[in-house]
Amino acid sequence: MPKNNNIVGLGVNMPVMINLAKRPDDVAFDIDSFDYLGIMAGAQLALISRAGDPLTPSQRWFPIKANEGVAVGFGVVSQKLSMEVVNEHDDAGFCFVSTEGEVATQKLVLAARSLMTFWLEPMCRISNLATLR
Amino acid sequence: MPYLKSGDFKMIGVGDYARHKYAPETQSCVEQGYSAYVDLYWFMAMIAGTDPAAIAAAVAAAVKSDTVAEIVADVASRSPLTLGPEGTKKY
Repeated sequence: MPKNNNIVGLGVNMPVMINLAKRPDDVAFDIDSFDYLGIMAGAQLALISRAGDPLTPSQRWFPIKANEGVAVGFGVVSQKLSMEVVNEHDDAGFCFVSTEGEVATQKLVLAARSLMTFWLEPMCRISNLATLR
Repeated sequence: MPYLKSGDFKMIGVGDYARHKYAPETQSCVEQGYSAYVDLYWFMAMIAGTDPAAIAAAVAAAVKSDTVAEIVADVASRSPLTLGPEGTKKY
């Protein structure tokens, strides 16, 4: 693509980094492909469950085998990877449920189809424009 | 965060490294003993050949503006974070 000083790319780091790590030969760029690459803002990622569910922020979430088969919703691979660490650490027996994004993961929790999911602040701000129930 | 405020959801952990300002009592995964976190950042990228100094100056000026601070606060409940090209590469 020729330079014209009018093209600005905006992106989120995790999908790019995962693709660069998993299939670098298929990605048409690397970090040196850009003359300017700068972080502008950070997001906040929370883990949520339904209010009535037994998980609490003050204890280790998953005593060994206590929650075998727990469904965990996720919208992007990086979220699943982080919970795989928890899963392996505690032998929690998570069943990961892939969704198309934050709205879908919230619906899973509201419908009691998953016990825990991720809450990415900006995406949830957008999803709140829609009716989740 | 209406579903947290309404009581439909509760926050049980922080998925990124640091605690959130809106829930300072909630521990991160790292604090709970798990070596896992996901730090998400928005970045700007210009193709090779773009003048990086001009972009850096424009970005630095924009980030200092109240308008950008308001947009970032509204979308991400945070202040703008400008690491610049060198800081971003280190990250």
